[in-house]
Amino acid sequence: MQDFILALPLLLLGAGTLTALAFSRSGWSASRLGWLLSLFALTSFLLILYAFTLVPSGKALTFTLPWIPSVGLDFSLYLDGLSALFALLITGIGTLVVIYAGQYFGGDASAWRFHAYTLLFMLAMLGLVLAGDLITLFLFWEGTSISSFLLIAYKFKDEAARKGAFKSLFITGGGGIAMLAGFLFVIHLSGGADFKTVLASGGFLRASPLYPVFFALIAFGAFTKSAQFPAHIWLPEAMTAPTPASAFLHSATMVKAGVYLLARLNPALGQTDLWFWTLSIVGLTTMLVGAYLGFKQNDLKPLLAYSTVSQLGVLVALIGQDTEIAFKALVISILAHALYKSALFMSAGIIDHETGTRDLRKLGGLRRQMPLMFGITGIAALSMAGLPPLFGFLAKETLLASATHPSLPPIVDSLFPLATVLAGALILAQAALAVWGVFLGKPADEKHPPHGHDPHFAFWLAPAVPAIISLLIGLTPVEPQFLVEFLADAAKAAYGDKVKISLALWTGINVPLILSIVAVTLGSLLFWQRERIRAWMTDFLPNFTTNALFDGTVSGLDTLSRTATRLQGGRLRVYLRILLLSAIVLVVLFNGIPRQISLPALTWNIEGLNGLRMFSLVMLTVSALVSVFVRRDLYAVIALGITGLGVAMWMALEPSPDVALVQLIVDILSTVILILSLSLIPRKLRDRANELLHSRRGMVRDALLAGLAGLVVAGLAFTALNTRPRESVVSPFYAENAKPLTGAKDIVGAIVVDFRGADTLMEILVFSLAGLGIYTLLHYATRKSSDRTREEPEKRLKPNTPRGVFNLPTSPMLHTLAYIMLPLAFLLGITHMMYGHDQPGDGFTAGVIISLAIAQWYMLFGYYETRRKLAWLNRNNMIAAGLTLAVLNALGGAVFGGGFFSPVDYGRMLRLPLPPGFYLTNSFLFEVSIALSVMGAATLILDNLGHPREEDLEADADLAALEEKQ
Amino acid sequence: MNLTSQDYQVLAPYILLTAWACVLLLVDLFIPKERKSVTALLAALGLAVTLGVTLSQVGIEQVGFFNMAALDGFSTFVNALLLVSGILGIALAHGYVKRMGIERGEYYTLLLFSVSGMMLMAQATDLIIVFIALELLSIPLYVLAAFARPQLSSEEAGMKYFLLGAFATGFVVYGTALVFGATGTTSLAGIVAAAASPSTSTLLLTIGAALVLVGFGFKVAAVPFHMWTPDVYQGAPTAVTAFMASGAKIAGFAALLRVFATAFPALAVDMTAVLWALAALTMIVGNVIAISQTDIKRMLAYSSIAHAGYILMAFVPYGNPAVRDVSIAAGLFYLVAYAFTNFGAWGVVIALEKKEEKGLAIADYAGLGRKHPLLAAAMTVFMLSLVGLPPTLGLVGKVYLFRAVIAGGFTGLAIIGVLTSLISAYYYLRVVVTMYMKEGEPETVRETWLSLTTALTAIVTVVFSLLPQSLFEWASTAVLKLF
Repeated sequence: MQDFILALPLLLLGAGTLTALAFSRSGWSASRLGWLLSLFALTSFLLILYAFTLVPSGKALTFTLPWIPSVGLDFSLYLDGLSALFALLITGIGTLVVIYAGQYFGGDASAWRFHAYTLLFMLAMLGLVLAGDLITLFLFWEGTSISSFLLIAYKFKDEAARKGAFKSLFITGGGGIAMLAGFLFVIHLSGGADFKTVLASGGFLRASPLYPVFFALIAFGAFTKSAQFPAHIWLPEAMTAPTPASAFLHSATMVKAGVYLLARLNPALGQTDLWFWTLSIVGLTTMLVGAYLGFKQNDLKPLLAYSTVSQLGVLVALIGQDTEIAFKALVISILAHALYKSALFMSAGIIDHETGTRDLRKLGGLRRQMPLMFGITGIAALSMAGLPPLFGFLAKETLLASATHPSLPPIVDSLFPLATVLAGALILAQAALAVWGVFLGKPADEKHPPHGHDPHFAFWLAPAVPAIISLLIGLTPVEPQFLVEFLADAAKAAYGDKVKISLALWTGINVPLILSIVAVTLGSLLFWQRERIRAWMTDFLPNFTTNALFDGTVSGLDTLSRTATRLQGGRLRVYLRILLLSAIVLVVLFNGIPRQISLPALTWNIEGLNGLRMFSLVMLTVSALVSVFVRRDLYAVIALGITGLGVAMWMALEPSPDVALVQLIVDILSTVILILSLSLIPRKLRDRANELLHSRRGMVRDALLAGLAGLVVAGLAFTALNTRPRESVVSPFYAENAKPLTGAKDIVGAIVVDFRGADTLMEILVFSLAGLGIYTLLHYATRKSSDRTREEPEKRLKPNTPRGVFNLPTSPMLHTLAYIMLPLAFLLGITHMMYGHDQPGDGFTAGVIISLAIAQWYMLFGYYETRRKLAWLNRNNMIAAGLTLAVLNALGGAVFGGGFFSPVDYGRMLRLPLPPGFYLTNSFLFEVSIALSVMGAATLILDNLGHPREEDLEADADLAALEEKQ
Repeated sequence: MNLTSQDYQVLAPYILLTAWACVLLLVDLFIPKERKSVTALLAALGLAVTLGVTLSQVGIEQVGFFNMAALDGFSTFVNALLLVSGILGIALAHGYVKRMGIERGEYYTLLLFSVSGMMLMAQATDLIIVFIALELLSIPLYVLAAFARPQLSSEEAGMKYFLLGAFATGFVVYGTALVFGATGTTSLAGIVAAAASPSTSTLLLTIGAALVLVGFGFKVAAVPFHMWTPDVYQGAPTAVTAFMASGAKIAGFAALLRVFATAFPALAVDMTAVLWALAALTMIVGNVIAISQTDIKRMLAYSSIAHAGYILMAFVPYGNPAVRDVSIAAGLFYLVAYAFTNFGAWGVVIALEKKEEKGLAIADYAGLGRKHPLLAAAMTVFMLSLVGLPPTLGLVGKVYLFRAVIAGGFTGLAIIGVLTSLISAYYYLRVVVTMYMKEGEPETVRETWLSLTTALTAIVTVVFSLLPQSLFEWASTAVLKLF
């Protein structure tokens, strides 16, 4: 359980977060709470220090907790030199930041939230560097994005702050997603997520053809997190966060996550040309851009932020190199930068806190009022400038040594030192700018000099500690052996091989030293001529901000999105068009119908084409055409009905009487329903819709689409005919088995009620459900709108002049017909049910036929007359009766026959005297139940559709508005 | 033609639920108008009992009704998920329909019928049954979408969904007919057998499959069959949308899996290419259009389209036996993740919605972080889950999914998935930023069941992401014997 010690710091920080939450109502001041919470961070620091002493040099300590063993995913932690370097920085500076934040917020009792976020962030950050596998690393990686968002969003004043917070969340969070995908590739290729496996399969990974893909994804994640150009824009914008957060996030922690990741994966993914060039170019560009932009700032925090960007560029470029000296430079720079930058950020916060401003133009001459702060800031700034005897000098020397290393390829070997010198000069000038602007120079407004004094001990302690360490490392005459070994260990983990570290400031007169002197001179020149140069920079040189790129991409996407949304205009016709077109495309793509149609192979066989078939074909075609071109919707519906009749006729000639019969009656029923529905829509609205429908452009487009769809369907039908077997494979089975198994002569009847009886049961359920749905929708609305009209028409209209559909008077001739048709329909329906098993027709047709007769009444007599005359027609009861009978009947089979649904002949069982050819079987009862539910549902629909509406005022108003517009 | 008790066992959950719905329809007549909560409770009870039955069936593998329906690990998994969705759907609807003045007993009955149709869809092993199930689940949804009648947007939603849905169903029927023409059978096993014989017309079979795909694509809201989604999701009562977004998607994917993976393995080469294109298109279009939405319902509608794309990715390698199981298990897992997240997110939407479609703009979420920290935290969890960020189920789902896609060798698809996830971070995180960083005074309603549902889904989304092992194992065993 020794390795469990790795999890302890994380648990401790989690406990710290909870403690902060627990103190939410305690009323404790921020500083008191800060002291308490700093203990958690400090203990974590000590624990990691202790744990690191357990790690044998060059090895790693691991701790694994199975997470999803079946996929080989674990939660694991890993401590070696590299992670220890970062972990100690995080918890060490974290401890100071917590104390510092306590002083910063002082007596504010609501700052517990900030403390909680800080500890949460520290937890995520620590987890990130201690993670032992890629997935755990990703979890904590995104954890830092989210918790840093909470910190940045802690206090916000304006729209800009919100935008900044969003940008940092989106860029760092989004980069993490890309990185995850890269990780998944790596895991897939190396066969494991833990670092041991990944780092061991470096050769294999680099050789994979997918290497560029996952390298790009991972590098993208690392670059966005570490604010590399052109993703550097989020870092300065995140400066809206309270200063304690900035000091923590942007010196040693969050922004270093990308650096850590690249360093960690270097042994596995590094040492390729792609790696070298990408990291070098991006890193050096970032270094220059950051240094350049920092020199232009007047606000202390952005100035520091840009110099951080510059430093991050340096670190990334260093990881790109494949030399020992580069990794020596890397670890020294990481440590040096973390120390001086956190000190500077915290000092900036104190200055802001004490004087109320961070603007260099308003500050000045504070060295007398704040001598202590002057000292601390001065030391840190000297280190930042890279001047001896500070640690920063050493960092810069090793950096220059690595930039002039002989193993660099040509061109680069002169570009690297040049860029480094330039950036060094700019950074030096910035450091001078900051110290001069705050403590030495004269304030811009002499009459109102800034006021401030040194804060008390606890406040200045936090920046003082890292500043003094920077000084001590540089000043000690003897190299601190433990530090040398520690850094060598860290460098070795990142480099993959032994790295020799020395912390001696003086290494004799060599190229780096000369370059360093050049940089210092150049930097001093820059500072001396700062007014002129900065003015010139502002006026003539670009800002190198890629905000435009970011905003452009976003607004480009937004425009694209809006354009695409236009298709989504809410118009059903457009939707239908797209649906139809994509279906056509899919069908064509899938199998290339054209491929299959070879015209020479066609043989025209018109033998079977007799007069009647000819007629039905012509009728079909003509009515289909008419339905498209006719202007009135009513006529179109009728023409469509005729098309259906043509199909029915063709079926009857085929001969398949069952299909013909069903087609015929369903066609009529749907025509009736359509007409009734049309009668519900106000006339004006329909006219208007018809007009729109028949605009010339629309006609052409629709004709094209219809033609295309028609062609595809024709092609389909043709292939179907050509390719399917001539003989049906199914019919023989039913033909043979229908009679012996079910006692039915009519195959279709047998299929419906016997072979697929369960299907039919479900189908009538569906059909009834449709009726129920329509009832639910229409019924409630009717009640709402027609409370008034319910009785009136009956009073107004004389009973002997009933009005039919569309409120037209109907002739008495037709009335008589309707009186005759209803009983006839019942008769016909009953026959269908009785002999359905042996003849065409069945319960379904019976139900529809009766419904049709009822529909006729609705058409001829109108709603009220029909309801009055056919009051006994209660559709709800019919549906219920139908469904119940169906189930009971099926159960009857279970009771009297072989099981649920098995055939039983009740007629023979009870010895009833029945007409010949009619058998009182449960098949018959099933037919009855089908008929009942079909009838019920159909009349339910008719009833609701036939119900007259009052004038639709809203629709009329819309219409009037439309007309006015034109 | 005898049926045995085995047959009933296969369809027991379906039969139970349908019967319960029929009974409830009658019982509801005797429940007075102001006490419709009783109906809701009874409906939820029915779902819970059915869930119990379903869970008791874990591990049973059987076919019944003459090979027309199957009970296996897959159907049990999907059924359980559907039933949970149904319960959550009722919990969300209960207060909502009352508040919006559209409380009617039929709401719950229709929902039960719809769930039973979805369950049948997951069990169907015959194209005819697939079709019936499709109708059974769709018709109640059409009605439910229009349930806020005479509110125009709802009416329009129902109408559009119905018309386009009928059109899409037509494609399924046509496709089924062609498949039948090619193979002489509608049974999935029969189709596999027939496809192997040389006399079968592959061409006809492929066209049939393509047309069936159109219908399923419509149900799961895959581009380019997605046009209805935003309008319907926005217009329908929010509680219905929440149910529809999960339920219909689960059922559609279940059918897609059942039909394509088991019946059309012979067409895998063509199908994989088409599914690849559909998945890519769906992810791109859904995510890109979502960016410019200002209405939360519409934004979530596009998000639901986008997620259909992610889930479709899992189906792309269905013809490759080496990765098929893992991939489809990942798809199932993602469905679970999506269902919970989705219900939670819609729950928050319901909590903020006011009468006459007010309170639905994303801008209305300003200040939620201060005023209702718990609700805002829940919404944050859901948004993070939809992006695929820790610590949520959405992340685990995406990790599985992308892993499977990468293992299947579909690098391009994986990269499209990543890029679109990146885009999605933009609009999901914007909601989070709006909640925490904009000043506002959002009003929310407090309803017990609503709060419970939101809290529960948020907890599940987080906790299961930390302990996903058992769920993933269940999903893995669910697909084991499918092929």
